[in-house]
Amino acid sequence: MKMNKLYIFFLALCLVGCAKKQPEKQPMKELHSEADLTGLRVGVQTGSTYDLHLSSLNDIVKMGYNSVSDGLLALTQGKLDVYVEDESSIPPDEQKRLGIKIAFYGEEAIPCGFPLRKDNNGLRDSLSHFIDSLKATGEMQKIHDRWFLSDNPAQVRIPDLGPEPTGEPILVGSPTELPPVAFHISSVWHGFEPEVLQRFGRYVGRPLIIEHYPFSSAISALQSNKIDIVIGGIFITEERQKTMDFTSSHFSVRSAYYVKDENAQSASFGNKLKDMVYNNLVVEDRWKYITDGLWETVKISLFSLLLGTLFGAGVCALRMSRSKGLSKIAKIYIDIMRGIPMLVFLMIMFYVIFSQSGLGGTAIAVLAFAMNFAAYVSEMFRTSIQSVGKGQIEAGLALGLTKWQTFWHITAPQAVKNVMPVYKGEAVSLVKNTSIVGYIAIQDLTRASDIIRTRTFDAFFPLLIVTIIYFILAWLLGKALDLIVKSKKTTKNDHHKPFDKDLLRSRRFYTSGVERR
Amino acid sequence: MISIKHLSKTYVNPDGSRLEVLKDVSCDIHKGEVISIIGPSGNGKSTLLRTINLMTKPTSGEIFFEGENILAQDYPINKLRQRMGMVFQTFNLFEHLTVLENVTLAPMKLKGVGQAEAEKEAMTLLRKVGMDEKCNAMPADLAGGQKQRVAIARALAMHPEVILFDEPLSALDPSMVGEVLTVIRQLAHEGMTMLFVTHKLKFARDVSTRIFFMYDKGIHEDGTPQQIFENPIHSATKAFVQQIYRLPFVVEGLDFDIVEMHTQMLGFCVKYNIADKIETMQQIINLMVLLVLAEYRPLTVRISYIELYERTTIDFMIEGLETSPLQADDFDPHLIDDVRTLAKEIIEEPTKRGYRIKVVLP
Repeated sequence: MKMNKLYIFFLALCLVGCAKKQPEKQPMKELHSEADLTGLRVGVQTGSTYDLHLSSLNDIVKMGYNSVSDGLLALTQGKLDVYVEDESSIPPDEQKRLGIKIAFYGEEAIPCGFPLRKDNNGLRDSLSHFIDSLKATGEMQKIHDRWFLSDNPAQVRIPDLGPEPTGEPILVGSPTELPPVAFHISSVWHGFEPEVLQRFGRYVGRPLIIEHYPFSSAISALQSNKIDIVIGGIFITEERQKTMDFTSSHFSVRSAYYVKDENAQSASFGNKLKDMVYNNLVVEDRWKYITDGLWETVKISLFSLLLGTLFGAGVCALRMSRSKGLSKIAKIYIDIMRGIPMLVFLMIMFYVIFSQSGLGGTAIAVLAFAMNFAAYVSEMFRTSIQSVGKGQIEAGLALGLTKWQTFWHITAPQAVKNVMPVYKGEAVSLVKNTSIVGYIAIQDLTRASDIIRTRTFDAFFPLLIVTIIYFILAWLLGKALDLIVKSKKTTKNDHHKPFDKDLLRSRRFYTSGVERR
Repeated sequence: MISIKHLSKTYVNPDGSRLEVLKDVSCDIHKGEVISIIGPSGNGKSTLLRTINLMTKPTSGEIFFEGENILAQDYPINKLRQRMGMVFQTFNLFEHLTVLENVTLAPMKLKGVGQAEAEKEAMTLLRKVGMDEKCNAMPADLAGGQKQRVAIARALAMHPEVILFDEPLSALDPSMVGEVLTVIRQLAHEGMTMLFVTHKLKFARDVSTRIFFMYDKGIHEDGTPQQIFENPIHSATKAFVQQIYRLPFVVEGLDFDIVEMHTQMLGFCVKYNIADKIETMQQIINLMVLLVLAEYRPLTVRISYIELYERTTIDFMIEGLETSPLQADDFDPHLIDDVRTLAKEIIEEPTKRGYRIKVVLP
């Protein structure tokens, strides 16, 4: 009893301690410039130019976030006082919905351009000319204003520019999925930069293929010829110009300092829930991202599982071969695959090894996952095969079964039953690991949640939906595997009675030859 | 039926060292013979048996089965094994199949027998070994003797011409030996050619038509059970078949370390598979040492076991004594009554060293 009381006391202490950590809600003073930021918690996107800029301010608490929606969530939950982003990232309608407002703007507007590979002068010059000519006629400003001055740029569309040209496609990668700069609705890209490039494409007679890449991955994709142009309001900096060539700047971006709007009304929870479902799933048919992503995930998972199991059996056979050389090769393969993180391996396969092949991202992903999976399961197979008593194999051989027959009829059934628990775990891990394919521009289930999160700035709901779906997938997979080793063998199984009743009745047979004690 | 000529087997260890197990072994085995291969451990008994169905490959020599050289390059080994059955010390039933499936597997897969027919045959065989009722049981649920009987049925399912038994009774509890023995006797009675590797001399003597005594890397002596057990030619044979296992203690003082003695006895009994006799032995020793011969010290107690006759005796020797302590004037005959009920026989015999009382266990 004493221990219980002690435990409760300790727990209470912790809770009090945690409660104390919450800072008290102070009414925000009016902010007009960076000078007013002293002592406040200011959020930025990690690694962005704003991150660098704020590092020069000494008396603020700088907090880095992985995405705009994560940062805004922190702001609305009171974990931040200010959040710094492009002024266009959160249009007025969105600001109202989230209950935030712009306190003030940054002083300078920083020019953005389209980065290309260093060796791609032809395309760069052509595009730069086009941009310059649009700026000269004032057309660029008109296009810009249509997107940036709208209260709800998500509803603006690229006008009909005529039939799509049929030349060699220009491959574009976009880390950004936010209006008005670049965003997609049911997988069709809209936004300021896509419009500029679509016009360019019509001009040079080449169609556009735009895919999402996370920023760092986009740079790798650019360097390894997977894409020709990166879009998304990329600032032209000296650092970047060392490794990439920029076109002429097509627009400039000013920063905005967002704060919570005290006057905004917070909706009741019931309405909040309805809004959540509406915004995350219904608007712009966003639920389609989830179903499409689910299909991608299932496809990749299943093929990787099948191929990986086959590879694994092969590696296991090598590992158990009598030839020391083959066994060594297998062991080296296993050690290498186990030693490299899956994401790194996937990137190497996509950007280095298979970069010049014609293989699509999905095929490369399946291959990479299968190879990784094979390394792990081969060792499991080996253990389970060795766990089958050698005596049984001897008995099989002594009966006259060939080595292959003994393996197939005696070792394999028992090995499969033995390995299934760990194999199931590994298979479920595989399904979860496929969530990294977003890095090579495959739109899977995890990416679906990213996409929706980016647009709605709601971190919770999309994640919850996707988590539940992954869980259901894992559960179904487990059940399916269980079916394979359904154990129909119990001693109590009396369905099978091959007695010949006539023989049984005849006593002569029953007592033939056996001395009864 | 089987002809072995100049067979040799040398094992080569990974570190290069060699172990020669069989050297220039030759013998002929005829149809209907029941041969037991006996001998001290490590003398190639199992090795010889296993070369017959090529589970172990000989280093040199020839083996002929029904006139064909089974060591020839293109000889179908699997077909050979289908004509020979093997029963193992550790039963080696297929754990994932029922008893019935264990027996039907080989005929169905190797001889193309249909399932219904295979099962019918299997049931007949299982009935023969007394395991028909358990046809749907899993091997894990069976006791040792039951497993071995199923193993025999499984071997019989292929209608072999000869069955090789590698220590079939060694892993069995004494209480289960009987049921397997019954089946083996029946097979012998029906004329099945059988070869046994066994440690159990009594079994070898009762069941076999011929005995191979293996010693010094070969068949040291080959003869009928009568010849081998009663009139062995070679001294090595004689020493082996008539061997007596002994365990002596000396009791010095009035009390003695009972626990120590009992521990040693237990080890001895378990080693020679007579653990069921240990209680009786302990009682006899306690009675004799503490009661009947309480006044005689030092006292040498010796436990002996002859496997061939399965006879256990406990000797009590008092050095220097010329007449039986049981006949002494002041001896109360009632003291020994309890021992008489426990023992089969009590023998009093004078020896050169002193007087010995032999208590024979039932």
